[in-house]
Amino acid sequence: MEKITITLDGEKVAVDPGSTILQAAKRQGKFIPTFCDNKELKPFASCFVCVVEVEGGRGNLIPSCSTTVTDGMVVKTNTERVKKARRTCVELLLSDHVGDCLGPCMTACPAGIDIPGFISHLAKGEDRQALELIKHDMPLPGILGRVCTRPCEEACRRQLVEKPIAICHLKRFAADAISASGDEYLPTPAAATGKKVAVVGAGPAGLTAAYYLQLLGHQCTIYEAHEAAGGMVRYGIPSYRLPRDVIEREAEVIGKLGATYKFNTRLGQDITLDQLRNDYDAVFLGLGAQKASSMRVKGEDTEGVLTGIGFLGDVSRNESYSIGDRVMVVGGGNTAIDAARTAARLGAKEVTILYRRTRAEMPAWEEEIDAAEEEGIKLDLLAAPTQVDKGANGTLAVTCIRMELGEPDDSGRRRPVPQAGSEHVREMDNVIAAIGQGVDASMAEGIKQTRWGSLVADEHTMQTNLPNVFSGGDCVSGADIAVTAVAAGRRAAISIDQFVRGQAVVGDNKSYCHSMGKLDEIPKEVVTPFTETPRVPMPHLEAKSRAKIFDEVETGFTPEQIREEAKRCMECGCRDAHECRLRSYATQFGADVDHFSGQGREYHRDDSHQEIVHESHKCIQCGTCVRITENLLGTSAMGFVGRGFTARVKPALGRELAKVDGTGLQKIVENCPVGALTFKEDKVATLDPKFKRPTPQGAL
Amino acid sequence: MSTTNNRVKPALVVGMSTCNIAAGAQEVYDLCQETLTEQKLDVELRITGCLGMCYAEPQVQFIDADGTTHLYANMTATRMRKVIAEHVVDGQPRDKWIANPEEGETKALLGKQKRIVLDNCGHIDPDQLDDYLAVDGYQALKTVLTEKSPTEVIDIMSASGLRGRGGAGFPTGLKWKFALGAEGDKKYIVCNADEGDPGAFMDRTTLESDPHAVLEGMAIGGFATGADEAYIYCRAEYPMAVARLHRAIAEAEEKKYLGEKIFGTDFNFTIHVKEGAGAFVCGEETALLASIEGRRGMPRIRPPFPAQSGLFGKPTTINNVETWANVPWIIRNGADAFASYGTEKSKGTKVFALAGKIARGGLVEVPMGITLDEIIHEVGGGTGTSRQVKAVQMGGPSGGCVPRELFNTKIDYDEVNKTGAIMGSGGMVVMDDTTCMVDVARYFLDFTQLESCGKCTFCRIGTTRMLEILTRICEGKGKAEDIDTLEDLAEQIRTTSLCGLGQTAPNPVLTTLRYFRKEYEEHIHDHKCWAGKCRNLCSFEITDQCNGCMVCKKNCPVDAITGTKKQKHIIDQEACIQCGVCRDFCKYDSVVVI
Amino acid sequence: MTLELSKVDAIVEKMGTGPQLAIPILQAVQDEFRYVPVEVIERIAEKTEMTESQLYGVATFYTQFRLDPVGEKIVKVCHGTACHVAGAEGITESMETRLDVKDGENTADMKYTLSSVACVGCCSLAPVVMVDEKTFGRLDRKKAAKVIDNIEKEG
Repeated sequence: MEKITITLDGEKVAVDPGSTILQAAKRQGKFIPTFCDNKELKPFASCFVCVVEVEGGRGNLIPSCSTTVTDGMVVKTNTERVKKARRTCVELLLSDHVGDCLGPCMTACPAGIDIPGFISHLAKGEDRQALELIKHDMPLPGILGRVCTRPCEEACRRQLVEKPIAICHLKRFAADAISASGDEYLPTPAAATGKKVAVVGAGPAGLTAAYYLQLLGHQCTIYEAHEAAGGMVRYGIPSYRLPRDVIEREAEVIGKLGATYKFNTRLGQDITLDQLRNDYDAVFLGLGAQKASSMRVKGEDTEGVLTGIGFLGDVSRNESYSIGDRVMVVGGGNTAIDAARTAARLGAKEVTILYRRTRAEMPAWEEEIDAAEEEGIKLDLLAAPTQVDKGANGTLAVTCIRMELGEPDDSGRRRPVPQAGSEHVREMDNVIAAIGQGVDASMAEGIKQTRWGSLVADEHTMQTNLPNVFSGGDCVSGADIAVTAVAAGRRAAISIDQFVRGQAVVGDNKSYCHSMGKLDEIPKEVVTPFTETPRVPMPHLEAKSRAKIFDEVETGFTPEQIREEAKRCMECGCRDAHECRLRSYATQFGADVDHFSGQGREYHRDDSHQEIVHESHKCIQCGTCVRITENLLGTSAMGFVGRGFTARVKPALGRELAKVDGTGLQKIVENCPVGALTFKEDKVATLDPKFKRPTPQGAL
Repeated sequence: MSTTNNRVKPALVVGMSTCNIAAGAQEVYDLCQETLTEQKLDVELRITGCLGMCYAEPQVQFIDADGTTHLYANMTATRMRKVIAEHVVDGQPRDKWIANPEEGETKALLGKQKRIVLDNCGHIDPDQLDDYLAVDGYQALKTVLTEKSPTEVIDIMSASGLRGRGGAGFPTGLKWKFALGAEGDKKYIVCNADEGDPGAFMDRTTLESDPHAVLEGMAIGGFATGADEAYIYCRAEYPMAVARLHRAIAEAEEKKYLGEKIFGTDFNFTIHVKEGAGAFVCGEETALLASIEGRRGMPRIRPPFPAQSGLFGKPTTINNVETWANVPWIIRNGADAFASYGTEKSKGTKVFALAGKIARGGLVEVPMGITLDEIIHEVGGGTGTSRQVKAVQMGGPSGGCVPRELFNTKIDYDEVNKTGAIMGSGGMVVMDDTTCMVDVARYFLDFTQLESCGKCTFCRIGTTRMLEILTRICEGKGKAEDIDTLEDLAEQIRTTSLCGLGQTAPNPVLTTLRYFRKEYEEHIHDHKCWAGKCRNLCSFEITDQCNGCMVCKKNCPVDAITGTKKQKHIIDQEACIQCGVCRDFCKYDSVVVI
Repeated sequence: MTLELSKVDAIVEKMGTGPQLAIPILQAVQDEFRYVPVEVIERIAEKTEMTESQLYGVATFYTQFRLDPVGEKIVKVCHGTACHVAGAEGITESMETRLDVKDGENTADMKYTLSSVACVGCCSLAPVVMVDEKTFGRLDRKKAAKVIDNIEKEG
């Protein structure tokens, strides 16, 4: 047939008469999004995401899937108006979409580990695959599996049934099991690029950056001021919580991938930033936050007053460090607990933690506080030191004051208010001030700093004001949890890769992620299929036997316990997360889910069918399944029900999917553009490699 | 008062349309029947449709032996008894109850009207074909079948300038021409009688009062386009219209005005009545066709237009009731006669349903080109209270609110469009200062949101999001950015929806934002609804003007008003639910919004 | 209560089996049963060329069809534009109080169903209520309640 000519985005092109604008544009290599168009079906025009501008007419946007080309037609597929309409379309659909692209654990994890994915491997005994999946996003699972503060577990939906999944312990198991097997998991790096990167600091951020940079084919040299790798997880966390061999083995992996360690090399002293910038293609600064904060108490520099971080670092180097009999630890965080428990292990007879608020406000983990108390450590709450003096016989006279809680402060916690006249003096041998750490980045010359002394880097790319210097971890964020530093290190590695290859530095691809909301916003139907199954408790040394030794307290799950615990996972997240067109367009168009917020769909999950799950809360009403059953399968298994905003696509008469004519139903699943219809056998959120790899090189 | 010279048998003609009956016509009719039988009076008792004077129903016309018609308005059984006794029996007209077209209110109502579509309404018995034949019924059909070719008929329609009265105003002659030119062994005619606009009742009245005019128009359309089968898609909410249509079709078929070989020619034409089942979107032609075919009324994209591929895939011509009802008159009187009324681009007359805060609510038919002000203030008599007209809502959920400042706008498709409203099918709801324009916008969005078929994204979700925003503004929870979001969303829904419902759904919001933006701002920023409609945003107070008539106190649903006779009353603000009933009942405008 | 499905058969027998008859057949069965029970849809699907999906889709699309039993009398409060500006909201509230139900519900004794409806086309008499086929116009809150009082009186 003779072709006709249309003008497509300003270009005259010959197209087949009778074809739709969508078909014609696709043949010309143009991108036009669509949900409802399907090559086996007649056009339907329901989703309206495929709209284009056509000159003439009343100025309305035209659905390209249902409009036939005519000779001389002038079509514009990518004007601002078209883009806006597409984004609005997606935002409207999102406002009526109920579901999670990814499990809430995954979203909560700063490193974005595919938690449901690795747990499902563990449940099946696929420990190695589990570890591979974890290391895709986080190279230190042995370390983090022990010390992470577990934001993932805080978000875990299982709490709506009983207790969260022991995600962190599961992760630790995967790391330990493979390590114990003697066949360490070593991914194959991409071919060497010849690019060199200096990584300053062998803490979680630096190690992570180096791990992924090596994988991407770049040669890393890791400069570390101390004598060993680990940074704050080595010098701030006692060995009974994190055995040193675990740090060693995970740091070694990075060495095996080709990175070189230069220990005892301090930036600003042994090397300068300028040198590194000259000698390397890029520099990553992971300096940490290692400066102990001051108590701002008179006499705090008196001999016998230690800092939490200094004390723990010293003990880390020398486990026969000597401490007095009576030790007061000031602070309520994990470092305070660590210092107290460490002091007890060193032989202190009386260890007291002084905290100015109540136990409920303590930032330390509940389990850690419990463990400390079990080990005989006393909590003295609502109290704070005001002055330290030298006492008799080399002791310390610590003046303390009692507090009460007043109005909430900016952090929402109630402010401690001193009670007048409650001052009293206590006699101590040592005081350990564990009230936080700050950043000392004075050696990072030329990098913009905040007024608190931390470094300024782009939060997404981690690039600093010096284009070839990237930075992340505590030195940028201020003292924070290890997993945040890991996440920053990975983001930086991706940006550095882009930088050294001369590409635009845009950082990691950030995909849109839909969520059902916080725990209290979750429809109760979500958890009804689950019955109470207690969380498997972590085996640990008895308090008596552990209190004086540095052996690891938490001894780890057995494989049987692991399988049992892994099976508790509710597999939140969407099976279709990586093929879902709604998610993909939301990412592509920069959709804002809150732009048009309002009432959304009711949660309705139909699990009745043997192979297929129907989740109408995710449906976008494109009608593809209805048309397939009606026109191709001849079964009418699915139909439109109701009308208006509450119109739904489902089987007639409220039937379950298992009760309809199931002939060829697989076809509707395959053609559902979102995750409303999925196959049960597909794993939830287990990452599709092609989607997961953020770099063009395909190495990550 | 019309008089014929011949002596005739006296008759009582009771208006028996839905609105008449709702106003009590059945009781009046029963009374007439009883009394005439009891007293063995030689007076014929007949029924007729609606005269359009709904504000003064029920109505009974007494045609005396001279053939003079006396129109009694606001009848009740008691009054009717008196009329029969005094006028029918004793020959003494009860002037007080007679609406005389030559004077006063009735003259004002009728003076500016020109009746083409409504010509027979309220005069003939809709259930008697003979009545229709007596006013030259089916003569137009006979003329076209025996004297004209389809092309000639279409030429007449084109020359008349008739445009679709359903709202969009597409030239009827052109539409027919497309259908005539369309290839097909089978073609259909469809009458859209799915009058779903809230506030519109032109089609109901026409079908109840003069069904044959519509049937005749359709048959003429069938001849002109080559169709031999037709459907009338009528709202199921109009049971009387459906019943009268069925009866009219049966009688016309029986007497060979419909059916096979009409007027002895080769032209066959059958008409079916399909009852709708409650879906506003079925007023959209592709949805209407889907509904006739037994499917959900979900519109599809056009083209193809129904003229090429319509009902059951065949070429189909769809016009609404009023359009079809114009056709016989145009054939009988000629295109020029029709085109002599109206403006350059909008010819003929237009029927409007006047409702809301208006003194003379009902149906009026006016020549195109007269102004809104003439219709509302002269024909309709304004609000009929001390309050001023604030705006008129035209075109229902697809239309908009035209403020009083623009009442010099002429009735003309294009002129009305310029205001942001649309001519629509003819609903005009008049609003005074007790009407909150934000609430009106919310009302219409609530309607369209419920009536959206749910197919396309922008309409399905977008209208709901707009409604949510409007609802929160009315509840006093509006946010500063809400007006911008509304405007943005409205504009996008308008230009990115599948069918007319979605494309016009934002109009009530866009027009109220255009003309009454201040009210939105007062709701959002000042938390005030000065119209006294949004309960969270207003309080009522009784002023010193109160003369203690006690009516408000009696009618307060929560007994929040205290006061004794001839003393100023007081509203207990704690107990008050801000329903505004006291204000509605107060004849002295003593209840105000604070 | 068992449904006399033979009545469905009779309706289908009389009206036909073609897909274009979905609405008329559903209207006829609703006239018969006062609502459209699930079993009836199943039966129509069995006896005609129509599928359950088509019938259910149609029955849930059009507001005329009721899928749940209704009271002996249906009280429809018109919420057309004219009725809205004339205070239809208050009429619904008054009916809710008088009948002790929420809009859209049946009374406990199944005597009444209260329902809000789109315009019934009696705008000049606004606000309007229809009880079954009978229309009552020019109401206010009190008069609306009286409509029910009168029906009760008439028994």
